[in-house]
Amino acid sequence: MKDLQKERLLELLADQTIFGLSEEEVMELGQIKKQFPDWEDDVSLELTAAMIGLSDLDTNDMLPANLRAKIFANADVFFSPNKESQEALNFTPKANTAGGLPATESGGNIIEIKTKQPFWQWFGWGLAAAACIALVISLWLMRTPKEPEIALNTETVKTPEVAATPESVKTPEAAQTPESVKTPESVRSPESVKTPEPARTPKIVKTPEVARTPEPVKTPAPELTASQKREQLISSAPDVIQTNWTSAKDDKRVLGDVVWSNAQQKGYVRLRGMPVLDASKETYQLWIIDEKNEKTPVSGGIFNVSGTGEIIIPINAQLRINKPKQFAVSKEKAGGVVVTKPDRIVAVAKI
Amino acid sequence: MAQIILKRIASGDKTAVQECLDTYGGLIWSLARRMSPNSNDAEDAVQEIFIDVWKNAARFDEAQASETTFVAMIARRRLIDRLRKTNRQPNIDSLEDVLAEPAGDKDTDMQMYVEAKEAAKAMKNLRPEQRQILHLSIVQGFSHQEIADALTMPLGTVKTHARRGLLQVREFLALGDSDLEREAAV
Repeated sequence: MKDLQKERLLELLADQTIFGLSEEEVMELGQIKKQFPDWEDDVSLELTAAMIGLSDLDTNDMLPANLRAKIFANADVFFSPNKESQEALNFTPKANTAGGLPATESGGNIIEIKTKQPFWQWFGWGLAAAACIALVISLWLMRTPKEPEIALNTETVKTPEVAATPESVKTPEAAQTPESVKTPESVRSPESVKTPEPARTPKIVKTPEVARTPEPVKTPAPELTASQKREQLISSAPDVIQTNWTSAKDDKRVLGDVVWSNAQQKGYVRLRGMPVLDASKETYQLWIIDEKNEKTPVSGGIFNVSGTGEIIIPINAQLRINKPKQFAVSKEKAGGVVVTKPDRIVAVAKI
Repeated sequence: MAQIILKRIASGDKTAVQECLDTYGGLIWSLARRMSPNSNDAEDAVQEIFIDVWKNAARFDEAQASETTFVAMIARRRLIDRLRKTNRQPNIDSLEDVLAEPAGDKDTDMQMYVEAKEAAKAMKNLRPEQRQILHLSIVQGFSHQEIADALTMPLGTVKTHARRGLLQVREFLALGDSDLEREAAV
């Protein structure tokens, strides 16, 4: 009975190391481990996997200098005697400090840290800062040049329509133009700015509306078409490469090209003359062959064509490409595949 | 020389950080690039891994494994956790290529880690399907389901090959208790 449990223990440990465990299996492993306390902290299978995982790694690879600098900065904090500084790295408390390694999805000890603030957190702060700036500017604009105007034309300022229209946004600016400065009303001494205190009341009430007026002005930029994005990449990326498609079989003609920026890890495929497939059964799939790992083509996404006209498709590389050597399009079953075969390749573009 | 880095880190010697980066920076960077969807993600992962390494330095047991293996293990844990959290689709490999050039055959001009060579030797003792499945899962990052689909093999068979292969490599590398393995071997 215990032999069977030992066997199961090893199975679960191996599965955990290689593929990960389901929640049920994690619970089962926990139960079995109670009977084999010697295995509680065993990491031999993980070490084995780590050694196997060193395959295909070149010892000459270097850590990028900027990343090295970041790690040094982290080290300053980590080795600081000041515990509060360490908190800045967002360490979570260790779940287990008694030699055993806290469980994680991979079965190992992971110390949770966050090295970067999430984008949306920064975005939120950015928005808040922008709102504050807009508020201050609007207050300033309303206070300085508009004082006499508001005093003369309070009704106009009070009307929501005026406050919301772009013209009302322009009004303070107009008051600052050289022409307005020349007008007697605009020749304002500091005293004149300070004097009409009562006129401020409506302005304060109006402030939120004025602050909101830029919103409709901020019309979002229209979404670029794939063609425009492709042109933008070509014009903006100094490292962009371009190569033409050729048919993998000589009897068929494929027109088009690939543009790719390795720095931006972005590219576009342009194709014309691709036979239309039955989308319910087949799809085209793009592959990128990396010079550093030719045996492992990286999927660049799947696509279908509805006609034999020109199509432009963004390349969606699943992994970082070190240096592309060749691009290829294969014909696969609907939904794409994880493994392709040479005889499925219909077009290639060599660098 | 390299074997003392983690002990120095564990004792709070900040001057060992530079050696740690010199010795393991390339290794961790390579692993992170292989197992991350993009370079930004890889950079974040590398920073996390180094802090994991410093934090776990005291757990390193030189009687059990080399420092390189220990660091690679810490890196692998972190990278796997990140992948599972983001549900990244793994890279693909051509089945024909894998069969034509079994795992363990490397380019002669590439400098390999000593540990990788040892593992490659151990892998050569495995049955081809065990070797292939271990390579696809551990090196390439395929899930068991994806391997089963790719090799048109039942899921249970994939798992069995992987388990037995891993246990045999572990025994060959003398990383574990062989008696327990023998008891558990089929």
